[in-house]
Amino acid sequence: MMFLDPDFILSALRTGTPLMLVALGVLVAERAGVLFLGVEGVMLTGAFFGVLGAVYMDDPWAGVLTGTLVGMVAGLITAALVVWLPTDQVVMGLALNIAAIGLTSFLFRLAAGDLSQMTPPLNFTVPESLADNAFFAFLFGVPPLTWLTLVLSVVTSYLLFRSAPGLLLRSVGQDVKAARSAGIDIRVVRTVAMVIVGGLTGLGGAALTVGWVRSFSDDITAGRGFIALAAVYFGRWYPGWTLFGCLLFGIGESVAFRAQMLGGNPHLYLMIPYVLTVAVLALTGRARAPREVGRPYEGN
Amino acid sequence: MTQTAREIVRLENISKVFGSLTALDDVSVTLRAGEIHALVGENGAGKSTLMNVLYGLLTPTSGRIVVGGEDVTANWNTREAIAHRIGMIHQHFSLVGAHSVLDNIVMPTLKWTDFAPDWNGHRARLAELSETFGFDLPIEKLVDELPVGQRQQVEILKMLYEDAKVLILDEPTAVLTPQQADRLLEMLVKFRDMGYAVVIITHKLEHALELADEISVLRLGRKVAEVRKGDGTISDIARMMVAQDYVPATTRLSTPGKTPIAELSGLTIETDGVRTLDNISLEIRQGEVLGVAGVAGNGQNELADALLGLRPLSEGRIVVGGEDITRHSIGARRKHGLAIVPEDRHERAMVGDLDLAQNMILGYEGEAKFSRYGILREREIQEYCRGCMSEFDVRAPGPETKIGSLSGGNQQKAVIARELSAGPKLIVAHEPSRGLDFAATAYVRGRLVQSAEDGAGVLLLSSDLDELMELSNRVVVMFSGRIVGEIQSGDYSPERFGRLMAGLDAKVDGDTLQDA
Repeated sequence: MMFLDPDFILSALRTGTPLMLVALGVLVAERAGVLFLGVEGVMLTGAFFGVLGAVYMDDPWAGVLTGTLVGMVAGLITAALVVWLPTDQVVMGLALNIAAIGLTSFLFRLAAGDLSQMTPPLNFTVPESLADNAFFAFLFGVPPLTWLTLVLSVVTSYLLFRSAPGLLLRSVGQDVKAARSAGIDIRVVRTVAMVIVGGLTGLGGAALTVGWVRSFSDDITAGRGFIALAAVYFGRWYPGWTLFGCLLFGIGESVAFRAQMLGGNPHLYLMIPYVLTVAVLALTGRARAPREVGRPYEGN
Repeated sequence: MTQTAREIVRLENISKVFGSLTALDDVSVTLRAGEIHALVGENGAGKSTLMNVLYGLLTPTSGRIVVGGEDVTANWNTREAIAHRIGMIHQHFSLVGAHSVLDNIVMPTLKWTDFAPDWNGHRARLAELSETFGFDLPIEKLVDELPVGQRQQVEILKMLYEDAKVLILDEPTAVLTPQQADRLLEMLVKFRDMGYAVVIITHKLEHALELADEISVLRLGRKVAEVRKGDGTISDIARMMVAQDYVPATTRLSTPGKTPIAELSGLTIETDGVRTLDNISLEIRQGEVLGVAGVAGNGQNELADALLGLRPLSEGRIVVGGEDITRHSIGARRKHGLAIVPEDRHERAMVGDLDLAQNMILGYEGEAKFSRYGILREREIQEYCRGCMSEFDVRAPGPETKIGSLSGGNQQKAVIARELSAGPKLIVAHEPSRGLDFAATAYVRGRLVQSAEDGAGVLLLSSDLDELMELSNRVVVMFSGRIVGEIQSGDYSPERFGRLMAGLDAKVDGDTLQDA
């Protein structure tokens, strides 16, 4: 089988991982009632600073950390704009995306000389004693950030649906009035949430560049932030199904890479994951977002 | 319980100002354990505002909040209120519909640092509480799936779960059927006997009088009276709510004609088994001002909406000028000679961001004098608007002024100008002078009377008794969706209105309303 060998699966995981991290972020944001349309821009920023960190500190993990931290700052800025001012979440999100393309492309030119090299690889190495075993070879082949993603999604899932802060956060996203009446400070909750969300999104960006492509190019995210948004919709704001949606996109992308070997126009194949997204979404049916998503909260 | 009730909460000289509006003006209220305290007053009297201050949702402009003898005014917020065992149910519930009953009840008591809540412990405690108070709620079900009555129980349990000792209920019976309301009131008595301090905000006076140990009457943000149990009658209180002093009416109309201009027969609106409008039949004659009195929330909104066509009727017929308009669209009704001055002009009668001229022709823009081939005739419209401005004394810099920037009085005059200029047969005026200053009030009332004298019929829905007595040839009184009495202009007296408005003298189809 052309498509079901371990390499294919690893490739799908590698391409799906950035998406999963970002989608997890979007999910938390929307559960708190914030429409995080600036996700694409924050992901792109994380992708750029991830490469920057990895190259200058010569350590892929340093890059991952840089991407995450910059993402958290971007999340805080988003919160300042859409939670505290508040501005319109759609318009501000779109503006942030465009600003991020400009900013990263500009900084990329400034640092072009240094960033032309590949970042150090981010992989586990199989211990020699196990290298012959196909199963262990596969396990060690799974990208480290994919493991991290799995852990993060289990943690997020637990926190959202089993812990007290999760219930309080979801209440903020569902009904501001009820939350306020319970004495919850809506703005503070959303701000903290957006910092976490920004961190996850930045991490997702770094997973794209440092964890997979190992370099940066203009607008490298190519709409993946929006795909994550779609995955959350597909997953009906539950982590499990959302991650499955991301994996579908990853599979589509891996199919696209494989299919290029068949010859023909490569752009045609690169369309596959996006077409897949549209098709899946069309079949998803109508889902209801947390009620407060996109509504500005103006206090009293 | 104890005869000398223990004070739990004291609100001292609370004032709350929103911009130019004084919502509360120096109001003091004391709440005691084992007592039911009723806050009564018209819409906008400040009842909910006062309790929102106590619950920490609003910060008072001045005054002191004393809980358990301790001044807590500084840094008072909802978390503090809950921590001081104060609970509140808002008129529109504060529940998360997409969450389960259990989640809703437990949520306010949870701490941010509690990463592994003891869900089974919460379930057990809730079961125990439900047992104690006789609730039987499906705790795993989503609140959205529950009927309104059960949602209210969720709210009550939520307060009890927070260990609240002061229970504030804002218009708790508004959404209930009479039977459910009775059960709720019984429960409140039980809470009182158990030593809770209960506050009930209501404009159903019979509830207040029946239950409360103490009644505070609010009017326009001021506390006008405090009545201990047994010290006042329902008509006293009704009168205090609507008017401070009774000034005998000065203006009276000439006798209206005999020809009916509008006939309403059997108007009924029924939603979920509750009749918000119950078999209303009225005849409005040419040249007559027919007043509709009643404590707010007894069907006046429904009546106005039904006439305009905003709410579908379950039953009944509306005939205006000899033509049945029951099935007409809103536009067709207006064309047919129905004018309306709604209660909330901002929401229903004007577009604040459009200019005066555009507002003046709203709804009539298709007429030949205002547009041709779908294109507005700006010059004619401006001309028309100037004419209306001088005729109706609308004071504005010009037709291009945004109506939202005008004073309330001038906005209302503009609305009246638009509605009356169309030459209506029936004018429905709902609280036409609410919020207007003295001069604008007099002007608006004068125009309505004049329209009647010119041959239109006017249906005046108002909570202001003085206004009703001054303008109307006769007044009918609404109570819980029905017409419970009619008073001719010679027989007006605030006491009679008070009793009817409270549903006391009401007899409908032979059975008294107390049985309803």
